[in-house]
Amino acid sequence: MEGVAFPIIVFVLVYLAITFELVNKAVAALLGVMVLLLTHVVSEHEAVQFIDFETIMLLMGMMIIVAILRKSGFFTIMSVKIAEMTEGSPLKILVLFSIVTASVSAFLDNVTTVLIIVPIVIELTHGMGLDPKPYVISQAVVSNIGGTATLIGDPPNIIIGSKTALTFNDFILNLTPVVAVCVVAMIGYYWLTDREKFRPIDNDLVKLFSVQFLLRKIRHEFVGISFDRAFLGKSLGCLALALILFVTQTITKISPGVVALLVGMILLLITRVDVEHMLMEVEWSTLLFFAGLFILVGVLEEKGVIEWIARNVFLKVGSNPYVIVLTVLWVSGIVSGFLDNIPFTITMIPIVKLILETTPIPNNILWWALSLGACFGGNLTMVGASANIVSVGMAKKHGCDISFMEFCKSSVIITILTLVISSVYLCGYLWLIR
Amino acid sequence: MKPTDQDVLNRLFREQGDILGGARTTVVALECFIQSLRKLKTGPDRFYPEVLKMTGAIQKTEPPFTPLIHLIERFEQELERHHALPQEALRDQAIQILERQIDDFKATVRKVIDQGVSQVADGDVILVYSTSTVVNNILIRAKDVLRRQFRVIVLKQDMVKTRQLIRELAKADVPHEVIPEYVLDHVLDSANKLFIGALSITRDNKVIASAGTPNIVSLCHIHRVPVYLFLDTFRFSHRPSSVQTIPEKSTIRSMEHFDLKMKTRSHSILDLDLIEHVITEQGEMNRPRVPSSQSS
Repeated sequence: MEGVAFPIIVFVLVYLAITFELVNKAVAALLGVMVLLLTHVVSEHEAVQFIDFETIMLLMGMMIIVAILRKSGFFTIMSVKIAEMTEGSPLKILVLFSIVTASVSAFLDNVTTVLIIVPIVIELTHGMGLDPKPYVISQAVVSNIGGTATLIGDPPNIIIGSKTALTFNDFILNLTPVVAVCVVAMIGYYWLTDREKFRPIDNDLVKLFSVQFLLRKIRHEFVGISFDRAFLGKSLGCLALALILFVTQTITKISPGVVALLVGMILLLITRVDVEHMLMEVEWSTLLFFAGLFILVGVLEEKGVIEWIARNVFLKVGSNPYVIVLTVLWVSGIVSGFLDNIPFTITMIPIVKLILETTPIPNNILWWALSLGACFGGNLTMVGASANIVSVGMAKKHGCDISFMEFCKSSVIITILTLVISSVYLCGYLWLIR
Repeated sequence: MKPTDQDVLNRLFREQGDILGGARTTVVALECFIQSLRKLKTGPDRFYPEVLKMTGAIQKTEPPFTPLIHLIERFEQELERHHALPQEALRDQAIQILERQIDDFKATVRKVIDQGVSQVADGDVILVYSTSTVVNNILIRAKDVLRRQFRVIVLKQDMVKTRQLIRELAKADVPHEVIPEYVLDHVLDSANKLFIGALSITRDNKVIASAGTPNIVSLCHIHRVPVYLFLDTFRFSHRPSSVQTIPEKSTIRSMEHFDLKMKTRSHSILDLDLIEHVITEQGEMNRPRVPSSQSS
């Protein structure tokens, strides 16, 4: 491990800048890369080779698909329908919106999901005179839980899927059941801790009237915008095509990155949208951030730093697979609550690969531990996931201030609850196959 | 009933009225009343008191939603005659009465529109400010049925409020352009009429209209652009303007890193003397007075 001190210092500084939001994430990561290039720690050619273009393609493709789907108005119409189905019952609002948010997050990015769902939830709860806070927090939390269910639901899964041979179906088969249990547990937690708040309203005519009146207002406000049925049909058709290609990945041999970008391009072509405008919806800073991080971690990997961390931190816990799995799960969970789970996952990928070389754990259980930990850990604090920050921001815009402590009051318990469920699941899984 | 429930109802009425206008909000409120009556699950002895609680809450809305209050008063009087009926029969009776109120109100509004259409002439350049179902329908019918050649200048206020009006005018192919209300002075030379709706006319001859209407009306009055107010007589209130509580509302507009906190009101009060023409279902009234039959 010669000449490692400098890249480690650069990496730590970039991490600190990202964590404390001192500069833009992409700028921090790429500035770190530039420093390494200028000091000849890495050459331009090597740096480019460290970038995982499969992940970049998948992210870019999904961003284009989501931008066009949002334009179609489909999710807004769906959210309004759900609002109508709740009939103003506080419990139904919690249950139905949680299920929808979790399901949508599994296929779209979590921030997009909360951007669609949270305004309607706030409008509905605030309009009914309910306290919107628990509903907003629950939607942010459940979007992070739901996003864990598939390969495309959350960036840590996209990174894990791209860096390993795991398919879309592997994620569904191994993670969706435990995610479903966690969603139920989260709903149960909210209901059990404040049952009075979720009482039915069908014996109170004024409340029933207010709800009916409010639903008419919401329908008018959100669905009043005329939408193009052909555009909607094309968007949904392409989403279905992407899902089919994801699911049949083992047969078609088309990687998820290619599927996402291919479908994104088809959509741009057939919907005849303003391409320049649509490409502005792509989060280029996120893609540049990913590229920069891949290079930084690639350098550390090449210099042997990652191997050192794996051997001196994770492999120090012994060779008991149960202990290793639980260590990866809980360390990922706790660290992701405070640090961005994207750089953390990118750093952990080579570490997990090294652990698996020395202690083989069957059925990719260690990868599932990393995924569950990194995704669920985002719920630990208000700054643990982008969806949390966006939801709290939207609530503030509607005059509902949610403090850091208010968020953590329920999110910490739910994170512990979901990590305990994941521990039981992973240990049970390991026990069954050994 | 908790005061917070009344606050929720008041806010809903104001917001719905802002977007839909008074006439449509009245119909929507009655339809929602019917839907909630159908969903109400309560013991036989609680049904009638719940209905009275509801009608009481509607009558206490701030600002008073005058057309709805008149219809609800009629509903109360009619239902009182049947209050001894068993719960399900009483529920059916209440729904039937409300359905009749909707029909009556719609028929009255249609008459106002019929009267209003005759006020549109070829070559008119009509200014429109607030959301009003009646004004929208007058313009659409003048174009569709009477084939009048006129142009509309929409004075943009809130995006949500203006959106409804623009969508309907565009759908009916009514030639129109949108300008911000603060550049009204630039079009006053070309405009020859201002069409407005209102929530109510009070006993002391004040008009309760969308916030900002007095500014527009005053400017038109100074520049001798005649103002036409279209409303049904359900909107004549026996209460003076002093009791037309128009609550303050706080809003936040966020731009980049700047939150603009503002206090606003849903409605404004203006003098009826500033309005040249008042058109009701009975035709034009030179000096409108609150008919004695209306009790609210």
